[in-house]
Amino acid sequence: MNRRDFLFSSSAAVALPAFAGNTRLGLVRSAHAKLRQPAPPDDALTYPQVREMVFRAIEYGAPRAGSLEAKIKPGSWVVLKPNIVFLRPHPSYAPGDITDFRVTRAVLEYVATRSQAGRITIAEGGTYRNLKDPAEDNVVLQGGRRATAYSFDWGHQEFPGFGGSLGTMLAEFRSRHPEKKFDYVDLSYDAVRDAGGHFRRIEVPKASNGAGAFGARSDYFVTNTITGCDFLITIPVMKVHLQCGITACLKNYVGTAPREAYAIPGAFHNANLHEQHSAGGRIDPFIVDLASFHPPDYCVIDGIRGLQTQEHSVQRAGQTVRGNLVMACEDPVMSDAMVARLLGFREHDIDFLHMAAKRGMGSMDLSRLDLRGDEPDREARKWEKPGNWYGRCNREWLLRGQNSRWTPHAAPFDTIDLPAATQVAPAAGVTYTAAVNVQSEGHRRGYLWLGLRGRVAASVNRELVARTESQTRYRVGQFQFPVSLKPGMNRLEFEVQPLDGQALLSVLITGPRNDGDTIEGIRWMS
Amino acid sequence: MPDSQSGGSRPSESMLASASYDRTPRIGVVLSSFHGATEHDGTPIRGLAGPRPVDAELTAAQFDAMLGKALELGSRGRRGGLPVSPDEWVVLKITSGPAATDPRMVDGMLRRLLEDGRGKRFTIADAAPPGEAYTEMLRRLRERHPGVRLEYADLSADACLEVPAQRRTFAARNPQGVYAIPRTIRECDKLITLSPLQTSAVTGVALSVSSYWSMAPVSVYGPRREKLAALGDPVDVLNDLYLHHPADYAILGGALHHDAAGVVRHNIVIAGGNALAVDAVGAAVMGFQPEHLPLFDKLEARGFGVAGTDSIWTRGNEIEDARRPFRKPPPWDKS
Repeated sequence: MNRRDFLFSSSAAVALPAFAGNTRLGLVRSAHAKLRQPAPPDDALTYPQVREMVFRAIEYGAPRAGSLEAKIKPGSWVVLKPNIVFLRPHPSYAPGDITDFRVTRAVLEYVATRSQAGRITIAEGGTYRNLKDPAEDNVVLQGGRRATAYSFDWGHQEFPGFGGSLGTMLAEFRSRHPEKKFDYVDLSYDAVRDAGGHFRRIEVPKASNGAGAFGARSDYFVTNTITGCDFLITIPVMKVHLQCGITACLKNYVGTAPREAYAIPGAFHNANLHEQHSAGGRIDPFIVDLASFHPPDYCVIDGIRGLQTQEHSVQRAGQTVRGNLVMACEDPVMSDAMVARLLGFREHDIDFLHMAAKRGMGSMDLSRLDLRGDEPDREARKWEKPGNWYGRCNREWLLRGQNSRWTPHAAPFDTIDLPAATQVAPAAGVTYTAAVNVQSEGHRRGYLWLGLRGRVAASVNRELVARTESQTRYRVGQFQFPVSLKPGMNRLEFEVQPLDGQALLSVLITGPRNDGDTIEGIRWMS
Repeated sequence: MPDSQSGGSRPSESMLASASYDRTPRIGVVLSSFHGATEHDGTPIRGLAGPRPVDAELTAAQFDAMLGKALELGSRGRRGGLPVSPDEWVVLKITSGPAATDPRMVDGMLRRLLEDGRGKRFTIADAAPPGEAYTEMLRRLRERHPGVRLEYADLSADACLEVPAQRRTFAARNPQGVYAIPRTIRECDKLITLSPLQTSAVTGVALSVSSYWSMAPVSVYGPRREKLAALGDPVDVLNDLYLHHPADYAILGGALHHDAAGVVRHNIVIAGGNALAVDAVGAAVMGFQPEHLPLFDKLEARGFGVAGTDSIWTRGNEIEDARRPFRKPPPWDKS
């Protein structure tokens, strides 16, 4: 596959253009020809090598202001937000789980030496109690003493060339740059509070185009640092994610939800964030909602090492994948779309990218990418997806009413609740008819994945392809049937009879690999 | 979490009370003679009310007590904590033939799930028509639980889907990884395997994972599944089949088993949520070294669990006490 094919092979989605013109993205691999010390893709790297990769990527991925430093106003409060979800003793930690500290250090150095920022804060909220928290769960000990992300000493082997802790690194920068302020904020304990000291929920701000929240609940606990800073640089590590496919620039915001407000007793992860704000069976809505409080002003993506299969350790050898690359870009949606491609996904299948694009956070249209640096397809690695992965199901429905007329219906999520969508109660004898048109670039053979509660007969171009029923647990993609599409427009129709008072349906077409990715070269249309 | 010393001058590191991350497989091992035991922390485990010798004929109640105790010990939480939600479709994959699943295990498992309100549809499945025992069992249970769908599926007659697995496969002569898998296995929510202990000339032991071989339809692979065998090393082919739906729970045992010389009477139930760990314990009980069995070795390397009994938390009878050496077929008799 050449570069053009790699970038432009999926035409399955169109996002609202948000950034005018093309977006620059810098991609630098360890073997980049212009590095002073290029290294093969499988080699461990030194700090000078990582530092140079980061600096070059930022230069290549210059924002519209001309450079990253030009975009940071003098005296600004800049927050660097890496992923430090775990510290090493956590049983689910594996190399590639968190942002490489050398990447964070390099970004810190870039901002400290080249910009006129007044205050630079490293901020994150992870699964570790702070020193003052009296709870006795999720306490990290090092050398017999409590440790936090600030004080945890990583030693010299985990991130060669970065020895010590965040604390020692920040102390060094304070010493070198006395004109600037350097600090660390544990976002887990930085929740916005009201005058009475209680956690305060804040509504997701409306985008300039009117787009609002996507989550089941639109008011969130957020942090003072994220809402108060002037400039936010998201510094994720790129990984496969069990629930939303990939984790990178936007998913990195889950660490900004304060655990002191969202955790349940005895645990220290954002259980209530998932409980209260997930929608349509997905976490994508709250990813974008959290990012909406302060969308990234810039993105630097750590692709030195990441995790395949899922985002934390599955205790299996080979889960860590060495990518030896760094990317930088102003547009978080474009950045994450590129991450999706690099990890073997179709950006169309990453639901939160559609939501973020709807809010005007960026564009997922890779045809508008101005890529500088290395080719994305070179040294491409195959990343294993989660076992239960499914892409973005159809949302563009036609529903036949009692007058036999077809009405377009845009479903917000993968599953359409037919009684609710048609306003027809699921009584005995009722049959719901739903359809969707699928534009195909050519002949395609793949699999039709159905999620179902009820009894369904499914046809493609008037040919019956599936007949089944289900009254048990609803699952997207539970029922799979071979299907063929012809070039041009294809008509899929579904007759669904309710069972147990329910008629639920989801539809996805995946390719010959039957791997859950939307088949190449199709577009859903109503 | 125990302290970890990472070598060299690195200080000790640990994490206190990181909830529910204990991945050590918990496997219940219960002989009909089980008098009781103690946990690692000294907590007593009550024995069976009426323990019987391991070669004795058991009444239905005695067998059920043995099964219940193994399920309790091989699961997390109260009442076994079997991993089935109220609205799920559960398939119980049995083994037919000379070495057959003891129907009392199936009956006991179904009764417990039904009484606990776990599951909405239950399918007993194997590549053979139902025997009289299962027909009668289902009739009886349907009478008692009319709101639940209870059925038998002959996998040899089941509709199939030929698809690649979603993960990397290993059979050398099937590089695309395409297998015909019965829809019942593909579409169910939870898969529980129930198997006797038996030896195998091909893989050493034929336990929970090996029962997947019989899922492959003869209509596609031939009457002796010769086309399946032609796809590569049986260990790799079994690995590929297992990928399509790894067992959610596994139970080994019963009263009658098979080795190279014939029938073995040994009243035992081994149960747990990780089929590889259950099979490893079963193999150890049979006198094998599970880490030396290529099937288990490869499954462990591919992330399906642990095969070393040192890494498995057995509760109930110790493996050494439960051991009843099986006569091994060649070439396994030399190991």
